[in-house]
Amino acid sequence: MRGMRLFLVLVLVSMQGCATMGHGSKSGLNSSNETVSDPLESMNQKVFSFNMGLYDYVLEPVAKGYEAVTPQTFRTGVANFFNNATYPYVFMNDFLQGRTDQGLTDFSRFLANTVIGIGGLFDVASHMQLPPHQNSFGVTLGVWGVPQGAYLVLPFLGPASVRSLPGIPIEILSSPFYYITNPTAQWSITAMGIVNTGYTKRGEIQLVKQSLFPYYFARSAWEQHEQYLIRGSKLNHRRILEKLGPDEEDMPEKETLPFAAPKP
Amino acid sequence: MKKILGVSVLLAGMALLWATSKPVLAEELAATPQPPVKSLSSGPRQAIEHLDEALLASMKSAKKIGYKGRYRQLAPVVDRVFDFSSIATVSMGTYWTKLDPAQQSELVTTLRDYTIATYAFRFDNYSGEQFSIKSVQHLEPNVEVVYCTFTEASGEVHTFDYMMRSRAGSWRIINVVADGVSDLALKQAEFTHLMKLKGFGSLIDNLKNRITYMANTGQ
Repeated sequence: MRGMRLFLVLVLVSMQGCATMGHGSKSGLNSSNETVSDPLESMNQKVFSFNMGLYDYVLEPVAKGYEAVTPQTFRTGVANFFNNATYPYVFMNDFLQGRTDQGLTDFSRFLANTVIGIGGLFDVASHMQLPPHQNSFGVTLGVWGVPQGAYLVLPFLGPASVRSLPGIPIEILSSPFYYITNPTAQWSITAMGIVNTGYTKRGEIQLVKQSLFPYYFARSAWEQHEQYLIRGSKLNHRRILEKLGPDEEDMPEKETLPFAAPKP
Repeated sequence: MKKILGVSVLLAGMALLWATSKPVLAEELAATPQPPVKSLSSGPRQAIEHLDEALLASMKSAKKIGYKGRYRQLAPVVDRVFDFSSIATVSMGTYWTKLDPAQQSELVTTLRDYTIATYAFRFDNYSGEQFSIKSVQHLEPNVEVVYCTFTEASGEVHTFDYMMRSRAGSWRIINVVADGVSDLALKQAEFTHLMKLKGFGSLIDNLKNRITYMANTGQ
């Protein structure tokens, strides 16, 4: 029984991993100014292709069917429900990072949506000045100074790094779904979670698919977002600016361009 | 917000329209009077307000005017508020100086088309979305950051930071950072890998293929 519960919650966590495909970095011009560590790129590319195929042939068709047969209100409620269930993992990491205010906000958000929002079906917290946040144990380790290690693309889970691997079992154990003992309920929630992921993450995954070079786009986006979360959702624009280089020397003559700025 | 089309339709459409849509669009643009562009006489905040207004107007009339209408409507505004030469320079990293002036100019022009096409493609309907400017930060002389939010109809809020530089008296966008992800960094990751693996011709072909794809599938 415990094994099956573990499997089902792993599936749900994996689906949420797919969700971060369009997020999360260290490539040349990110705010951390570090260089990407991707020694397993060849293998990662294969797994990336597998994950994208999984989306094309499973998640997307299922999401389309789901959208066709359900009203928007229903889909929003389902999305809220699954999002709310991730919050114990989120606020636990807030506190581990010493971000007490954010932790209290996220804890309050979870309580408000669970109690007033009927198990999370309604996102009442957003109307109570309790904005949503993202967090993970990989981010916590980053805040503690643990190096990211090699970039990884995990089957089903999507972009990750060596540093984020310990977060997988912690996320499973902190999910309320792990503590559901009724097999029918477990299977139902898992199936609905897969459908919901296909629906809610379609925009992000399409963004990756429509990029010039999806693998590098996804890697850069994931790493950037990871660094952004580690810095407490703050950006250092000055660091980005440093990469802009000389103001005029390398530029083409503006007069040769069809949209040249008008002369004062 | 985005439409999803079947793979077969995409492939058939791309094959059919690759050779036709871009020239048609260019001819139409040349023949059609452009909407008047507001004067951008003041600072970076006004430039972003101008872009937001144009995007909202385009979204609200999206279904009526279609992709090509949105492209025409947004083109003059995007031309006025983006600094494509800076964006191209940074996106190419060390490869920029290895291009001859004609290649540099071609990349800047293609990047400009790609940006307008992307806006016209993605902002294809309106259901209550809102743009809001939160604050402006001075970074250094002639460089400021405009902090904005984009609120979806569902209430989900995304942060958009526009890094702006003043050149020749005009404030222009040199980078957009959405929820912590820098568009310039994404472009650099893609462009430099394409340059490394396949060269300049492939980069331009890829950009033009994406523009054609958006022109053919945008509604």
